[in-house]
Amino acid sequence: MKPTLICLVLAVCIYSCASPDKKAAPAGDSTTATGDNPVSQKTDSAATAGSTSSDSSGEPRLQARVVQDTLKLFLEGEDLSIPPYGLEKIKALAKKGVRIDDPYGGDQSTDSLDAKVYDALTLREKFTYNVIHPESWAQNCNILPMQTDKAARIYGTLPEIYNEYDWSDHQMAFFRDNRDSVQAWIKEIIQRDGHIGENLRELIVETNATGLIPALAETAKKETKDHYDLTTLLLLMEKNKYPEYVNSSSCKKLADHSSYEHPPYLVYNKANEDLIVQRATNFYNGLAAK
Amino acid sequence: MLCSVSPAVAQTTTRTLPPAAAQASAAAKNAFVGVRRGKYSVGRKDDPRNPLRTVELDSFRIAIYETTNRQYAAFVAATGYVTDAERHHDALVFEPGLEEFRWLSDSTACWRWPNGKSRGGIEKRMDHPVTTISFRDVEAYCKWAGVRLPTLEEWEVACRAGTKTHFFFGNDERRIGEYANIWHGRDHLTADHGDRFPYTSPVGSFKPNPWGLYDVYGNVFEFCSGRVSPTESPTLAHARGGSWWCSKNSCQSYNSTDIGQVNIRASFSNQGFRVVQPIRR
Repeated sequence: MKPTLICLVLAVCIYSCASPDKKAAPAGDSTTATGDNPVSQKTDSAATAGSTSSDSSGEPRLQARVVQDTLKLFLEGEDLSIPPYGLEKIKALAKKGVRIDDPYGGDQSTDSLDAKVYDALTLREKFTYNVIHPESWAQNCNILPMQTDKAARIYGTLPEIYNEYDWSDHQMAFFRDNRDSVQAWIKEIIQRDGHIGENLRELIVETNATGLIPALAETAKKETKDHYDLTTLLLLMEKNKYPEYVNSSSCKKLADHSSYEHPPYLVYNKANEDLIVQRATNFYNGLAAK
Repeated sequence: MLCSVSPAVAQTTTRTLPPAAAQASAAAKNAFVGVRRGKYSVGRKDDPRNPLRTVELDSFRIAIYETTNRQYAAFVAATGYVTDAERHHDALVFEPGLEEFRWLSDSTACWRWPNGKSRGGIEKRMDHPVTTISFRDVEAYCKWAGVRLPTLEEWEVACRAGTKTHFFFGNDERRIGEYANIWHGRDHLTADHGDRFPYTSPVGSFKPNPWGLYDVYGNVFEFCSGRVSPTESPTLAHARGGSWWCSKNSCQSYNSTDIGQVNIRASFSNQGFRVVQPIRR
């Protein structure tokens, strides 16, 4: 058969297999099927892109076509740090990103660079790509609980940063596998900006980047609109079960979730700031002495 | 009328069942509670995503149970529908040992194997809520079944059941275990042995709210229609009520006011839904 005819046959097969609107509601179900098309579909062009197969259970699997599309990059945000390493190259590559072409039409996934393209990047470029393009999804409650009055409160958790997106498993593995390098690059960005963005704070905690405690202690003193650098210090001490902190009244207060009005917090004042910085510095000095 | 409690329940179309009976019949029956047209108070003071306000709703009938695997299986059997997770192999699953808010990508996971094939299928969980489906998969089911999702406001009115407190049972969170399948562990690094259910539970396993709705809190996040902000991304969907994953020390989403958000294509093993039946006039 000619390729076009093969595609046409394939399209018909896929459409009849996967199109709910051609089927009836189950007998005995108390709900009533309507005559409307149950699913909005663009099967004409999209179905030709896919092919069917079966997995080990015999269930039909529709293999979607991989196509190119522009990737969503997080380059602007309320408080994001953008790595400079190969940034223009990543922006250009993002225009040739890979997405899954949905045979049903509709919105597309976040998706990623082609694996070969990604593998060809330098470590620094991979760092930039991974920081500005989270490839996976964030779950429903990542944004909760709400944190308000941030200038007057030191919260025990960091805010969400990428809306409905999150770093994928392989992106997290990259950050952790290259922890020392990641730490050095973050340090360079802090020195460049004199500030730590929300995305890098999250990365510092995820990679347990305790080597950045001195830098965090410095930037924390300059924070005015929120105090998430102090939160980051607290999280690092908690993650490493630093006794001076985990046995403190501050830690106990931040673990008290009994109020449903707001998440637990410490009142921001100079004394609390100094105490957190001092404890974190003690923790860091202890690590350095080992 | 504002926050009218007793008049709001128009009728219970199917008598509210005790949990054991509810489990047995949930998959076979669609039981709905009617909510009368009226003005209702929703939201919370100083909550930017869900501010305290009065809304006027038309009457609606909402399912007392979350939609089950059995019900979703009937849809798939009738239509051959293939879910987002089955097409893209990008579902996110959970296993104890993960840090807070981390999930694993599992290419084998879909509604048939909610946490991946290695963690078991739904054969013995047909009365559990369907999970590992996306908002789009839910929309497809609703259109086929002639039902729809509750709006964000409808969900809250049905959840509150006339109450004004943080939970429909008051403000004492310690009672949550009577009403909801949630995560009782301090964190997610070790398995939760706080109740019988480390993941989902059969629908109707816990006490219902005052209007007879089961699992309003916990078990699965329930997708709703509507937007939190008119300017938000069209790729966002919202869900409410928290899930089996949610804990006191993480998100505390199992309450009457919080509104979650997720990509319309994302499939998590703590996402599900309950439906609203159109009222024909």
